[in-house]
Parts: sequence; structure tokens; C-alpha cells
Amino acid sequence: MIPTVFGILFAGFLVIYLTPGDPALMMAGQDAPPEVVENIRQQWGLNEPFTVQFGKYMGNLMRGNLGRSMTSGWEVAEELRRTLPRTLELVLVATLWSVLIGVPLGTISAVKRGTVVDRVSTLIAVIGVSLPVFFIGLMLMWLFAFELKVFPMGSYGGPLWTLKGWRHIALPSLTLGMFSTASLARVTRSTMLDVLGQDYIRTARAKGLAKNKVVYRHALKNALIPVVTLIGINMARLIGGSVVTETIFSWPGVGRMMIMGLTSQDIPVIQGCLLAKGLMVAVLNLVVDVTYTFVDPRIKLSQGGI
Amino acid sequence: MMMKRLFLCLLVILLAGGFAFAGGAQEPTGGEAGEPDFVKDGVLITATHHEAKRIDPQKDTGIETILCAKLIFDSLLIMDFDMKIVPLLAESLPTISPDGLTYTFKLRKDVKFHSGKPLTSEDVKFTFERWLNPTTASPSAARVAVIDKVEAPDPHTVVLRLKQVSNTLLAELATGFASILNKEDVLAQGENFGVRTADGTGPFKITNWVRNDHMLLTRFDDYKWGPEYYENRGPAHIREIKHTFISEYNVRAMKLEAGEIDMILRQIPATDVARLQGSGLQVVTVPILTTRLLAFKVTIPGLDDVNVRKAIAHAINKKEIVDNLYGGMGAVADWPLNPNAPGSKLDPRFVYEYNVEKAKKILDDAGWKVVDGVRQKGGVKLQNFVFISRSQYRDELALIQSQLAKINILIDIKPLESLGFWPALEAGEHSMFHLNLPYSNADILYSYLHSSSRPRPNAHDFADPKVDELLLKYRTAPNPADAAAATAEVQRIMMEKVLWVPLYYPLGTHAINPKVVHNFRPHPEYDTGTDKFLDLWTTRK
Repeated sequence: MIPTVFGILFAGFLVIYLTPGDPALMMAGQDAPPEVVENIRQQWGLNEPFTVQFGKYMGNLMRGNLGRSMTSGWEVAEELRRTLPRTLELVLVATLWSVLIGVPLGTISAVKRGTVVDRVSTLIAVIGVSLPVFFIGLMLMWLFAFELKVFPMGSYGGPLWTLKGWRHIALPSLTLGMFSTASLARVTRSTMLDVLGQDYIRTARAKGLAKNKVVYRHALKNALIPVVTLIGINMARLIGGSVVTETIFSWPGVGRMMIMGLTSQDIPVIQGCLLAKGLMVAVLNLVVDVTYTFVDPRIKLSQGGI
Repeated sequence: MMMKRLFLCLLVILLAGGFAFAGGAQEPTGGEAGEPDFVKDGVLITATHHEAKRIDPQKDTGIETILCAKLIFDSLLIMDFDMKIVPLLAESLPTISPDGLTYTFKLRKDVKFHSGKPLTSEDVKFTFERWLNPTTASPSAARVAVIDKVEAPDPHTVVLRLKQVSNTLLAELATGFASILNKEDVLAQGENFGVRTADGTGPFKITNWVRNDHMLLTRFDDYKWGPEYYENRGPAHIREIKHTFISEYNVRAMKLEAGEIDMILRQIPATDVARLQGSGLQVVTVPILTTRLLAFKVTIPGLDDVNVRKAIAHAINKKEIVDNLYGGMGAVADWPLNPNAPGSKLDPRFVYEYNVEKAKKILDDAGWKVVDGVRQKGGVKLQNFVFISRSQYRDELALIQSQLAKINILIDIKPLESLGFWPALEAGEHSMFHLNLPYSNADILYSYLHSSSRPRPNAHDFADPKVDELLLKYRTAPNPADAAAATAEVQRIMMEKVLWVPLYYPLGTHAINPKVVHNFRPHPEYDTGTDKFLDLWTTRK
């Protein structure tokens, strides 16, 4: 994990360094005299070589200091402590919807292959992967929040053990999870069809086992390995892709913080967000790896293995 | 089957939960017909594009910061709705010594900060010294750089000693940048000043700031020194302002129509005005002191000929830009500075009206003949001029490109993201560029035209010792009439040389729910479009 995180930070720093634009000028404003801009560059060490700037940043990081926002002055670590749980909540709830909706949808679709249910499920899946998140978010907001007034239009409503918290997270999490839901539904359908065609399933049915028992106790469990893999991949995608959803729904997460940092070339903020997102992905991948052992007891977490 | 049931149950729970607890924010009480009765202690919920970076007007010049600064702080002087300078924290306008080098202010004795600490001259002295201190690295320090020393001979007297005479200092002291800070609060908070909170003397105080979400301002109940141009000089009628930050305009509009917010501050797209008004909302406009203009780099071959620049000025149909791109929300600009701006002096001899035939004749008479569809003379072709602007003005660039093609001048448009705009100008990649120029008075010309400001913000590559002298004279001439004559001459020279083609004066716009928000009057200063909200009241409880 450490080399991965180091690589993310290095790449991020390099990209910012090479991007055209002047953070000092952004801070000073277009009318500022050149000497003021130069003063700001000196204060923030922006004139120093890349290796010196990156070295100083990593040195501070080792001491637990993520720095302050160059434009706003707040401590990056403090803001991440507030925003990271919000993004994590959003991603986890979005993943929950995608599993609770996508897996059953895919299973039903496989069992009822060729029927109207299968075709509707396919349609939902195509819509989910084709429509941009931005469009889905605004449409859901317009329909359920503006017209029907069923849900609020956005912003954080409180912790998830409160009803208000759930009402506020409903639309953003559904928006964020739409693509995952669709892809999970398709993969579940595909793997279920594969498993349902196996000899042991045919044998179980021939022996007189009830269809439901065969599908949910035997087939689905065996079809879940690739599904769990996809859940892990999707979660990583959701962490990176939460920016648009957080922007539309004014969700106070790391994504919005990152946008603010990028538009003003606020280096400590950008690096802090990259670090947070990188750590989230690494931790969630670990959780997914552990999940494999429950789904398939033959898989053990051992040295060199998964 | 089990999966199917689980799926259907989930869907029902989701919808039922939402329906059962639908309702959202409490609806404001609004009058159905006729003018509603005055309501005291209402709440105002606003939405804006993004939050202030920090509530420290000396370190951040952003419009959102100044908008908040006007509510949280006060300055010694202030501009009224007609841009006339009046006292605020000072009892009256300052006494100025005959040589123009000493300004003496008498402070009001009834002012206190939100913390309860009385305002004294020490706070004013500290404010200016911090502003001018190089370690503060204030982007706006040049506004008051003429101040040499600040003295506080007694708790309610402030004396400013100037390095030289200044005709612009009073105007600068009346802006949000000149907000007076609490010395104790700034020293106590150190690096954190303005990051979460700041102690001011303004009509509202910060009680909570959730970054990237909202800022809660509550009424300062002891406030009673509001500007004389308000009917209510304090405390404010509304007890609270919830200032929310919503990046996406469509979401701000939906929330306003749904009644979740009461006001959208600034930047209402012209294309949405009719729809908002059709929904029963009100779009309030104010002519802010900002000019959008096209500027030339006068050393580019072809553009170094004043006849070419004159022809371009005549060929641009500004009315088409304002009407087609901005729905008529704005006024065609014939002069670089809005006629309402202090120091603006229009000379009708150098107003270039839209006239394509005249443009063609000027070029023909100057020897620029059309060959293969492009104007040429002496081996120089009037083509491939790189016109740089911010990407949000892409449509404007395209329209100007098509207008200039009619007189056979071909330009390449290059819309850039904000981050890349000024670095591109500094790098000299341009032939022409777009400027969006906010200002309080004619002194803005110094920043953009003085030879020492090259390559930025003087990206014209323009240097004229006579203009330099006149720009300085506007700042320092002891006689106001001489100062006015100096800036008038600068403006005349600019327009005679056609350094700029003024395009239009945009309007400041806000959208309000008129059933909830009453007595809101926008303010033209510095593009914020707002002021102290003292007369405003709302029916939201």
C-alpha cells in the first residue's frame, strides 16, 4: 500500500507542477502588481525546484502535517477529517444500492431469461451505463425533489442512523450507484447463466430440489466471485467519480474539496485529496479481498496469494 | 422468487419512506395578494456559486469575500447607491491638510465589535499597517500604498500621513477591501484569522461556517451605525442569513423555485431570466462598474496600424453581442469606463459606432487591399491574429470572429480556462485579448496602462511616457480639476489610439423570491451587487 500511495502523490505533484498556470497569480488576482505575486511565490516556495518542493511536502507528511490551503488557509487534515467520512458514506450507500438492486435484478434476469423481465432489466442496465452521471443526477433531483417533493435537493442531512440523513443521501447515492447497479446486473446475469448451465445444477434439479433453493443456495453463491470482484472495482471507480455527484447535490465530500483545489491550483489541497482517495481505494480493496474468503472458503488469505 | 420479493420490498420502502417524510424545508409564509405586512426577525437563505476563500479582505480579493466582508465588517467610509462617498465608522469625511498629505479621521464613539470590544483608533492603525506590511503580501495593498504612516493620537482619532497627494485614497477607503479589523482578534487567531471566523463591526456576525456547504450569519443586535443612505441604520430587520454554496446553477434555480432558498446572488444567465420571471420570481439588476472590452497588443504587425484597430472597432456589432448572447442584459459600451464611474470622461470624437462600410473604407484608404479574401499591405496579412479569452466567453469570441471576417480580417480564437488565461498573456501568445474590468474609479487605468505593468496586467505591450505621467497625475494632482483633466486625457489618448474596443457594460443580477424577500436594493460597487442588507426583510421564519 505504501508504494502505491507514494506513487499517487508523486504523480499528482508532478502533474500539478507541469500544468500551465500560476498558483501565486491565482491567489493574488489579475490586478496584483508583479512584486506581490513574487512575494507569494517566495512565501510558498513555488520558485523552488520540483524535487525540493516534493521533498518538503513528503517531509511534512511524515510528521503528520498535510499543510494548509494556499488560498483559504484552513488545515488540510482538519478538512479531510470532515469530508472523508462524507464521501465514504456516499460511496458505501451507493455500493449498497448497487448490490441490493443490481444482484437481484441480474439474478431474476438470468432465471427469467428471454422474458419481459429480462428485457426490462437489460433496458435498465443500458440506461444506467449510457447516461452521464450529471444528467441522471439532475433528472432524479428534478423528478423526486422538485416535482414530487419526495426527497430534498441535496446537501448533507446528518448521520446515517437518522432518518434525515437517509433522506438526504438517497438521491446522491442512487445517482452515484447507477452505473454500478447496471454493470452488476449485467455481470450477475452473465455469471448466473453460466452457473445455471452447469451439470451439478441440472443434477440438483433432477434430484427434486426446489428451484429457489437451487438458484439461491447453490447457483448464486458460485456466481458471486466475479461479482465481488466487480464490486471492488466499482467502489474504486465511485471514489474517483464522486466529484460530479458531490457537485450536483452539494455533498460536502472530498470530491468537492478537490474541485476547489484544482480550480485554484491549491497544491496542499490537491495532494491531500489524492492521498485520501488513494488510501480509501487501498483500504476498500483490502476489504473486498477479505470478502472473497467468506464467499469461497477455498480461497485463503496467504502470503503471495490474494 | 425470494430475490424478486426482496427487490420489490426495497423499492416500496424507499418510496414510502420518502413520501412519509416528504416536506423538506419549512415553507416561508408569503402573502397571497397585495403587499404583505412587515415581518421582523425573518431569515434569509441565499445561494451563491462558491464560498469565500477566507474572510480576510486584505488577503483575498475574491468577490465572494468582499460580499461577506461588507456584512461582517465596516470601513471608515462607504459609497452609497450612487457611488457618492459618505462616512461610516468615521463621524464625517476626513479633514485634509492644505498640502493634501494629512488626513484626519474622527471615529464614532458608539461602535463596537461583535465580541463587545469597543472600536478604537488602535484597531484602525493596526488594520492599515497590516495591510501595507510586505509579509501580509496583500494583493490589494497598492490601493493604499500612498500611506506612509498611521497615527492614533487618541482612542477616537486616526491620522494618515501620505507620501504624496492622492486623489483616489478616499475612494479606496470606501471599498470592502478597507474593512477595519479587530487588532486583538487578528493577533489571537494568527494564521487562522478569517479561515473560520473573524470579529468585525458589521451588521452580521459569523456564527458557523461549514466549508463548501454554508455560512451562518446572525444579526449583531448592538449595531446602530449603519450608513446614512439606509432607512434603517441598525440593527438589521432579519435575524439570520444562511449563505449556501451550490456550484451548479440549475440546482440553485430549482431550489429558488421550490422555495428552499430565497435569493440567488449574482450571475443569473441571461437565457434563464424570462423563465425565472415566468415562474413568479424576480430578477433584480444593477449596472455594476465593470466593462467587457477587447484589447490589442499594439506591437503585432498589422495591429500596429491604428487604422486597422479603428476599422475593427467600427466592424464589431456590440448590440448583436448584448442582444443575442446576453438577452439584452447589459448596455453597449462606447467608452472604457462606465459614465457613472468616478473619473470617467467620454469624448464623443472617439466613439466608434458600428458601421461595416466605414470600416472597409478606412482599410481601403489606408492601403489594406483584399487579396484572396484577406486584407494585405506590404507583405503583411491581417490574418491569424490570436484572440485569447476565458472559455466562458467562447460564444462572444465566435461572434466577433464572424463579424471581423466581413471586413476580411481573419482571427483565430483561443478560449482558455481561467488558470491558463493570464499565464498565456504573460507568455505573449496573443494578438488580441478579452478583458473583464471591474473598478471603483478611473485609477484602474494605472494598473493596465502604465509601462511598469508589462507584461501583466499591461498585456498590450503599450508604453508611453506621457500616459505614464498623466496616470500618476490623476493620483497625485493637488487640484481635483487637474486630476480629472489628467484622466480624461488618458482616456482620450487610449480611444484615439484605439488601444481598447469597449464592448458592453454587463449588469449585476440577482434572483429573488418576491413573496419572501422585500426591500432588497442591489449596490453597484465591485461586482458584488450587494451591500449591508439593513432595509431588507423577509417573511421566512
